Amino acid sequence: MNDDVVVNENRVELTINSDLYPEEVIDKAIEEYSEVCEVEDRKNEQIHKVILKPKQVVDSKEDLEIIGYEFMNYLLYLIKNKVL
Amino acid sequence: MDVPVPINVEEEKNQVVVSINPKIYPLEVIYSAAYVFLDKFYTIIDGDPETEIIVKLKAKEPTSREDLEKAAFEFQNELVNYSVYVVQAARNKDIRKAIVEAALGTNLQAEDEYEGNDNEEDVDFIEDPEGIAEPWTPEKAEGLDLPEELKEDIKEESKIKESEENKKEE
Repeated sequence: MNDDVVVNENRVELTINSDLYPEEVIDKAIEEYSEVCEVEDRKNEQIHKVILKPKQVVDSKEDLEIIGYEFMNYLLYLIKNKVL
Repeated sequence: MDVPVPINVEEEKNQVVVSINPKIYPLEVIYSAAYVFLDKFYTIIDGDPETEIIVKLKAKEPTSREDLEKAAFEFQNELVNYSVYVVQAARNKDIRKAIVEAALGTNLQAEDEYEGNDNEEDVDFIEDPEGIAEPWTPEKAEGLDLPEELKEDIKEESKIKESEENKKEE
């Protein structure tokens, strides 16, 4: 299994399978995170590569990683609560 | 037959990886089980929805190997828990639907009755053959077996009335 959350310099890259996370949920999460991060979404078939670059400077690699993992948790929150 | 190891603790990464057969546990059940762990774990769902789904639970706080393993077993229990819920919900679907329909039906009937009473001309007053609804007067008490005190009060009252009427006539 590939690493789903990878920190690269001042950004965090997420690999998301749209067979498991619905497209509208991914889009909604990206929209919400756009307020605090510069977000890039590269899609290749069912795989989304979402790159988050915080607008505020985040020096710590751990903090960047947490931003990525919180994004993944937020996807699940959106799925369960259907707040679309 | 080789049975895949469903739980793999990766202590150095502070996480545990759980392998799930999607033919046994559907995606909806996996979402529900994973949702329970959101507050203490970062949860990632990966794999192939046709063959094998992999759930990665990464602890937010440093956690021992035993606790990671325990979390994975609890996750398996949650899968069973939500599977039972889904099965029961499917079984009770018709009953639930009937109850809701009955409740809504009663409500609609009550609304119809209420709307029908808006026109006052249509209202039938209740019959009152005993005259219970009419106000009480001392004359009505005549002939009834009343307590002595009440009889005296009635007599005094009628005397006062008579004297008032006489005064008016004069």
